[in-house]
Amino acid sequence: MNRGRQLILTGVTLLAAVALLTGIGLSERQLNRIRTEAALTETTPLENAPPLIAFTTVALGGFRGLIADYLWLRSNKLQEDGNYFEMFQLASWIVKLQPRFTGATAFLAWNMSYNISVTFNSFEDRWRWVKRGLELIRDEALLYNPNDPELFKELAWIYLHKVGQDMDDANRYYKTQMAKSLTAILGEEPTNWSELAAAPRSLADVTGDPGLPALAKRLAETGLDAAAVERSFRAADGVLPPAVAASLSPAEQQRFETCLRARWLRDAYKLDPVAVLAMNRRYGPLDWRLPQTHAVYWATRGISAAPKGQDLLGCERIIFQGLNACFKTGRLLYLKDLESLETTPNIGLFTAANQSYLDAMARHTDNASIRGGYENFLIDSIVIFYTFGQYRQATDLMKKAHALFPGPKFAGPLDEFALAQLAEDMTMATNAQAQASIQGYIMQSCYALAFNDPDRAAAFEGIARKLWQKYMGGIGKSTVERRGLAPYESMKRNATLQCLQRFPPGLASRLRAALGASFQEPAAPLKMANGNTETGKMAPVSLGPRLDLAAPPPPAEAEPAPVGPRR
Amino acid sequence: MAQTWRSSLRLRVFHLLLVLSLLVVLVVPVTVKGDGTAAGDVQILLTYTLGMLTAMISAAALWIACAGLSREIEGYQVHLVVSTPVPRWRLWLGKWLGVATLHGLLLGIGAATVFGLLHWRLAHGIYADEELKQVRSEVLAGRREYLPWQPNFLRLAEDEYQKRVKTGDFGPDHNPVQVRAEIMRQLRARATELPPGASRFWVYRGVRKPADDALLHLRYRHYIGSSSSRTDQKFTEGVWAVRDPAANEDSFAALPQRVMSGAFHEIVLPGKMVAPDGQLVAGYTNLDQERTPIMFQPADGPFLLAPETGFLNNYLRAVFLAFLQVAFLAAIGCVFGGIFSTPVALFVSAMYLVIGLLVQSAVRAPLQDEFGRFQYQGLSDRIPHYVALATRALVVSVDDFDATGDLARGRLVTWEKLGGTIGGLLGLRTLPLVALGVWILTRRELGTVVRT
Repeated sequence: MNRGRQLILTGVTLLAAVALLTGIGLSERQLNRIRTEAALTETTPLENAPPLIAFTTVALGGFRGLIADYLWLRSNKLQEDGNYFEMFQLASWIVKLQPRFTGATAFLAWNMSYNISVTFNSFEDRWRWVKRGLELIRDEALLYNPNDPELFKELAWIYLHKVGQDMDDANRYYKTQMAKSLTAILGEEPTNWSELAAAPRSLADVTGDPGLPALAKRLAETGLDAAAVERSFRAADGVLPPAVAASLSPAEQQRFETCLRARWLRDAYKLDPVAVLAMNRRYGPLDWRLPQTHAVYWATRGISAAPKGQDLLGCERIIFQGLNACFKTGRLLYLKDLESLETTPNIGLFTAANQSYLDAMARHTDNASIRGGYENFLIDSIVIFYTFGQYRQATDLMKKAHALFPGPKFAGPLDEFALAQLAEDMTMATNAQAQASIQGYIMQSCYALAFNDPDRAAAFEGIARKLWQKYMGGIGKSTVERRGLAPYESMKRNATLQCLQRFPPGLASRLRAALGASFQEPAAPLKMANGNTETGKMAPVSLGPRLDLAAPPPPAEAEPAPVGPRR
Repeated sequence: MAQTWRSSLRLRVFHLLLVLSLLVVLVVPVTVKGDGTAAGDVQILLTYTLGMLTAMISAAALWIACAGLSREIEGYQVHLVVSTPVPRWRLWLGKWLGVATLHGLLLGIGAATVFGLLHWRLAHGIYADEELKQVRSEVLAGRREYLPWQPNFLRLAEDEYQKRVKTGDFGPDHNPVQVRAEIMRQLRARATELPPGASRFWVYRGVRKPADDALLHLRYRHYIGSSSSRTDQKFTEGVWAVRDPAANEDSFAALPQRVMSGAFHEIVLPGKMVAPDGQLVAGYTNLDQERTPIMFQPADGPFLLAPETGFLNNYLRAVFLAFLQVAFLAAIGCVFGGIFSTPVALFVSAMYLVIGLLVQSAVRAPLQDEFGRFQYQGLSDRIPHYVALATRALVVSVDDFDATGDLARGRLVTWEKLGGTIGGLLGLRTLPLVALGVWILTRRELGTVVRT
């Protein structure tokens, strides 16, 4: 190529480059505007991201999406083939590559908690996958998106719906495991949240705590450092190593345990005791061992963390539905094993639940579903107050309900209304509703007994027993495991013990006398059975009701199965 | 070959990839998270550590093979060799052997480290005995997958067609192809669907008789309603029955099941359920409480997984396949390195691999009917698919060598797969390319290479 042609070619190339750059310059501004308007560009930097994530999001640029797409496809393929061992790792990588993609995170978490979990027969395996879904949002995605209300809502929903409701055969197992875990962390009830909130956050601050003088030195004398003690404390379900406990005074021991519990709670459940304390003050005495309480926590955090102008209806819904659930079944009464998990209405939360509905209705005046939900909440509340003998509150609520929802529904007498609802409720009741009704009648029976009215007591107790039978008979064999109640005698005994604890001393004494010597009270007050050594193991997995093998073709001298279910 | 080892060991790229391979072996196992079970941890460790190690070493082999020959040609060092009576195919073979054996050695060391690490973790892990037992029976094993005996639907359809033609069911103007297809569809549908209350039995033949206490797994998936609809799927009840060969002819062991349809499930069987003649009979009775029919698709088994060899044996087979991948990539690199300059050789090699990976999707792209036949929408659909099929027949995909998936799921890496890889992938598809590359190298005038 001669020099002249080379110069011409260079000149043409340069001109083309200038023309293209000019074109880009002219169109770039408009493109940027469109990107901003359509929210296609993330302009806010990631918060709390570890260096690897921050580096990855910048260094890979647009290729992040491609890699995430590949991982997504791989994840789908593995799920289709029934290979789940990589799912959490792939989900975690997708979240790291696309930390702002809320929809993808929510789907991945939901997929693990809902879709993958139910493919397993073993409740233990299911619970592991439900937890994986929770952890993906709670421990990872929220770390990078601490202001995204959508993520808070999705997390709260899994707690409220998947763990808290009775749609899953294994729901009681989930609740039991969660309650056992939180009991180990929080210790015996009642939890002193003020102390937990005031506890230092880091181990260094714990060892330097003025309430624990020369702690590091004293721990060293036992051959352990603070980190080793913390590991041992967690492994032993909240019990200090004996040598450490022996080296501390009772007050110091209690202080040290409080510090370790506060740190454990933050690590395992990402619950901030300061926020918990604030919520207890705002809503009332929430039971933090139950999933619905955690749903309320995360939804409340979502609202407080969200920037102004965001749509918060999702979180608001979780709050009023969660408080509603806390009101109906928000107190853990007794927990030993699956069959004995028993909750009771937390009547002290009525005001908070009621107010949360009223607030939501005031903010979303044209939303009919909230209004409908509130009407149902009022109906349930009237029945609960009625069944627990709080007639005045039930009557007041009827009047308020009638004022808000004019018509025949709330117009009649309280007795008629409540009994009609109870009959209807039992045919369609959830586990929680049935439990609350039955407990209410047993408690009314105790009242009557304490007031020396054995006929009335027997009547109430008879109703409770019939309701139990009606409910258990109506749920069908296949859903006994999922929706079934504790044995009636166990429910009766626990409700009676509750009465003995809750009644004023005089009334309790009269009840005790009326019950007679045949009713054995435990030596210590009723409390949660803690320290169950059967951690991580459940009773043999049930395959549901025994199926009728009367005529399995071809002929079967069906031996007791040498075949076994796969975990 | 020795010269190739020396020059490879001097390359910075080799050092970099060696360090990365070391990192993979040491760092990946502590960073990846499984599903929380011992089996999941072992599976993810095997999948990622061995997979990434193989990928790193393969990349190094390809790079060094491409660069080795082309740089020697560009740098005139090759003149010292080609001016001697050494034939060029020997030059090529020496290069390839050098790259393949060096990287094969690295792969062997890496694989041995992974194997040791895995067993160290199992011995010093936090796993319960029950979990370890499960790992040993389901992951650290070489289990052969047996498919149940299936009738020959084509022949059955033909017999049925002929029978109905004889009885005069079809008029003279019927379309035999369509009628046969419809008969076969009905036969298959009948074999797939299981009405409520009905039972279906599967027979597995030629199963290698395991020890009586060995654990076999029957892996199955059934659907309610449409197999493509996830929303239709729900919990369903049924009973698995497995014939006990030790008892009388009709003695079955039964296991009631309540499982989610649309997902894979496994039941565990003792080895004694396999008859001495290698036959196992398993049946399922549909006891769905809503009396819904269920479907067992032939593609979903039920598969019988029976132990055939130990983990070490299976592991060695998987590693050998990985070595074949390295050798294949070294060959590809040497072929293109002998023809092009280093960057062009790398580009062409990379394109070859990309085409190999992408063409698999193109082959599966057209819709298929229930008999597995492709349904083309027109020529624009048919011609690209034919091109994809032809390309697939010629080009080797690195995926074809991968056995880590099988290894991680405790599936046997079969001799058939090894034979197919050596004969089909290397012998039939790679050797012609190698011959072409050597021939071009032989014909190439190396003295005209001018450094620019």
